[in-house]
Amino acid sequence: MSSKFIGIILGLPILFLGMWGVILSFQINSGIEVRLPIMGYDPRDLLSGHYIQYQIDWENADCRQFENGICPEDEFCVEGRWGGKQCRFYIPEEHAEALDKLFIKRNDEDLVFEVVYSYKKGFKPMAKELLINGKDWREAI
Amino acid sequence: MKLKKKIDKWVENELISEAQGNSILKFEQKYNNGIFGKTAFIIAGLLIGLGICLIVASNWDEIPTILKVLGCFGMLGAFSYNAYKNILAKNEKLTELFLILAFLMVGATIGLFGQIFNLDGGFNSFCTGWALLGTPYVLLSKSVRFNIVWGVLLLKVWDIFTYTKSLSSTFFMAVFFIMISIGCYILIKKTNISLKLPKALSKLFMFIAYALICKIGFKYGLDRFFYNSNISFEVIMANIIVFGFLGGYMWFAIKKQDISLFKRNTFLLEIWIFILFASVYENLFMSGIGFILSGLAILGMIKILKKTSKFIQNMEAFK
Repeated sequence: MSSKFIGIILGLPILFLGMWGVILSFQINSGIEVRLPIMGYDPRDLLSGHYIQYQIDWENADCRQFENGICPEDEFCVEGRWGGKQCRFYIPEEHAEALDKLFIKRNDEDLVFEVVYSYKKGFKPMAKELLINGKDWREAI
Repeated sequence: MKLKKKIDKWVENELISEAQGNSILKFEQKYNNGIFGKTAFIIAGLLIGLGICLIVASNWDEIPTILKVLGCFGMLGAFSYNAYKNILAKNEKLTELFLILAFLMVGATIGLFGQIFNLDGGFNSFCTGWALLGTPYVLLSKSVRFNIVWGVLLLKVWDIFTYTKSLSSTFFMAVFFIMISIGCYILIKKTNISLKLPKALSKLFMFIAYALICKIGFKYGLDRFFYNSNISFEVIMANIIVFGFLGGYMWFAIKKQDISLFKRNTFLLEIWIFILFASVYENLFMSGIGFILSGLAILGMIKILKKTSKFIQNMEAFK
């Protein structure tokens, strides 16, 4: 193998990762922002390490945010291991416990958990922010 | 030292001269003494990589996102560049070290993107993405183990056991992996390919085939084989598959005069015969008879094999 070929081969992963990063940043910044209420994916374990697992509460979602007022449920999240759709939002681990407690008592304290998505038709929607009663989750904890 | 002892013995029995013995020893020391060094380098690579990951992880939340991304790409670039330099300098150990580090860094970068952009993908898609993007490092590596790890990551996407819910599907999946394994084996034999990937894939796919055959045997082939008068077609088929697979492999080993392969499969076949008998009888007396019968079956098998192949007659295992 020539040194040029080896150089190209070794550069490919960096190139692809860079391109992927650019595409993801474009995607997250180019869509319209939609706000969707969430509920626990698994009520026993909402928080799992660095990310929270949740489901979108489509029954209480405002579908007017989308084209023709129809919620594109299939486009959001991925199939979970135990059935149903599962979504993720990453948080620093040190705040996991506090957030978990808030989530458990959300009904008692009238807390509304929402995730702001960047949505663009034909692209995978991307979670941008986690809101508690309309404010950034950091403020709530 | 094992080789030294062997050489001394050969010299003592005048099979080779002392000068030849010394030459052999020097040759072996020069070219075949790298196992410890290679393993040490691989372990060192893993430890350094994990160490860096842990240090970064301990301050993870305080580091700005852009710095994390730049750090990841910087390290990936540095490892790749060092791998490149060492490939050109023909320094195998350092090449392996930097290829492994670069490979780990690709996984770390994917994980980082997952965090930054809140990607929903699960463990399987992470493994597949990592394997695909890490392919160049694996192609350049001379370590079969590294290649196998890569293959395992890639195969996560198939989630093999979800497709093997019946005897027939498990059987066809096993056949599929055997075929690919043979394909890789032929590729190695027929071409002067210097890549380790086909060898690693051949081993990996055959290992999966073994696992699937084990599943066939234990799940479908042990339903009171000798005890049940209404023995099902499935049980018979499962045993035909297990015996066919191991027997076929033994035949292949005889043809290729591969003693270790032959021993391994004979041992597995003996174990299987023992399990078949042991799983059937329920009281001590009957179990005793079962064990004696399984021992006799194994002895009979060895006797038949000894008679049928000249190679086996001369084999070390039967002396």
